[in-house]
Amino acid sequence: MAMSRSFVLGQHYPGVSVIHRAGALAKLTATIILMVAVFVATRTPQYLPLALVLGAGILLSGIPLRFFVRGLKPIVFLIVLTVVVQMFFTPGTTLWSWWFLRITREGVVLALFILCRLVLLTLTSVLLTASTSPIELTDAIADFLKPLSRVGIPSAEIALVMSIAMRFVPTILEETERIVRAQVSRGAKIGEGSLVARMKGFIPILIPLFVSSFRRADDLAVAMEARGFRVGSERTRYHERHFGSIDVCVLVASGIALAGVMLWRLFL
Amino acid sequence: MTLRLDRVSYQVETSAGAVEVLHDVDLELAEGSISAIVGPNGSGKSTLARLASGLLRGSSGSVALVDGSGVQTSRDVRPGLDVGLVFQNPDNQLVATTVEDDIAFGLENLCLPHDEMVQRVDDALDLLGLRNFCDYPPHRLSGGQKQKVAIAGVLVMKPAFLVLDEATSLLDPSNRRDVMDTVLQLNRELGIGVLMVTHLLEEVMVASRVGVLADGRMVGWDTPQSVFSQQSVVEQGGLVLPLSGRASLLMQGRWPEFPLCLTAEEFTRAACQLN
Repeated sequence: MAMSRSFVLGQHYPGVSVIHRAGALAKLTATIILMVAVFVATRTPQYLPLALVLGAGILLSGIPLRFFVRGLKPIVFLIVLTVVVQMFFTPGTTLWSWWFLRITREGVVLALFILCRLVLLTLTSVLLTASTSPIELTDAIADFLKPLSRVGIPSAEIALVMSIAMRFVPTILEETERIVRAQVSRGAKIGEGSLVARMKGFIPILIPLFVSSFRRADDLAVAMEARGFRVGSERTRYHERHFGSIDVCVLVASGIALAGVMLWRLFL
Repeated sequence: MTLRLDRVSYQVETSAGAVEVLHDVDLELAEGSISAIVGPNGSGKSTLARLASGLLRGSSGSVALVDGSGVQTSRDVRPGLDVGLVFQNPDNQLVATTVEDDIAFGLENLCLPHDEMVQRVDDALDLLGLRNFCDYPPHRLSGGQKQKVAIAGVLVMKPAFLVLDEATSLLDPSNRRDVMDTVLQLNRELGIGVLMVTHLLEEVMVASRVGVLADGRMVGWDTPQSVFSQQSVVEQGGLVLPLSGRASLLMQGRWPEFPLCLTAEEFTRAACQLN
């Protein structure tokens, strides 16, 4: 449980805000539009319209800011590494130097730009997953992929697989913790010693975990069959989809952010 | 409506050749009845449960629903629709990320209209006392609650029979009693037929018929009293009678007319009637 609680990215934060009530398909589309906007920008100031729209979304969602800050935790190492590499290894006008280390003006500008890019990408994803239940999200992904079913890609099955994967994440995490405790109680040294020793230490965890996961998968397949599931068969949906005014607003807002970034890039 | 297994055998292919897991098993479950199957590990109980629910097809014999009213007709069992199957480990049979969505899973497979799905899920939530947990993810429920969700997910498909394949064996006594009470309530209120596959003889006592499987053969099929009175059946099935049953046998050494009692209540009553 402790392990499962530490990952904010992908966690749903239940609520009744206008963002929560927006349709999952609209939010997924808006997220993709915002992500395109993140990659369209070439300079940090161009992120302003995007940041304003995203900031408004975060405030309207009613989700505490600390939840979003926690969402950034898993990528702190990536951010620090990227920023440091950019600052010290980008050629340009020197701002500060010592021995072989050199910080350039261009390096600082690029580091700031990449910092903003990573933070905006992560916050956009956290807003989507926090305000949308997993089942709504997988339904939305199924809708998004539906055109691909015409060329033989099983979009409904892909969505179901994703939904089942999400359902089993906490179960597998609990199982992992149980296996770790069992192995440690029998004297296994996990996370100790050299890198090779630590990697070897994970083998007694991974093998039983894989075996139990395959057994679970087998049991689950039979249980699904017992409830009338057949691969490729038509299914209806328990959650009905409506396209309402909130969805229009969400899409328009993300469109404005993308347009703002593009106009800034072209004309300013 | 009767669920009838007629001389059903089941073979599995192994590297050493074909192995017969079940041999010529006959079984008849009346609508609204409670029956039980007991037997040691590897006796074929779970295979029988899967055959009865239409998930497996026998190598020989037939599994069919027989309509006894008027002209007798029979048809193959449809999994979920005619016979619902609840498994041992609730963690491995819940599919969706919330209780409500999981209960609706079978209905989505039936392609039911949305309004009917909502109605059936609502009814199941109320019937099984899961209303307060409808938006809970399965991993936040207790074992008993998870098993109730699994039962609800089967129940919404409105099967005539419910097969419980050791459905309480992983639960603590309190949760076990809770799930058993729920099953009895469903049998009483909805008239759903129940077949319990179990190791626990205490659960068998509520059944009107008990079958004992040993090495893939049905060595006994009668009322609990009759089955457990037969020493050969008890031995073949590797059964250990409940405490009241063993105490009854001891009492019979002194008072041959003392009945075989399978519950503490029966034993107390019989003991009080002794002169």
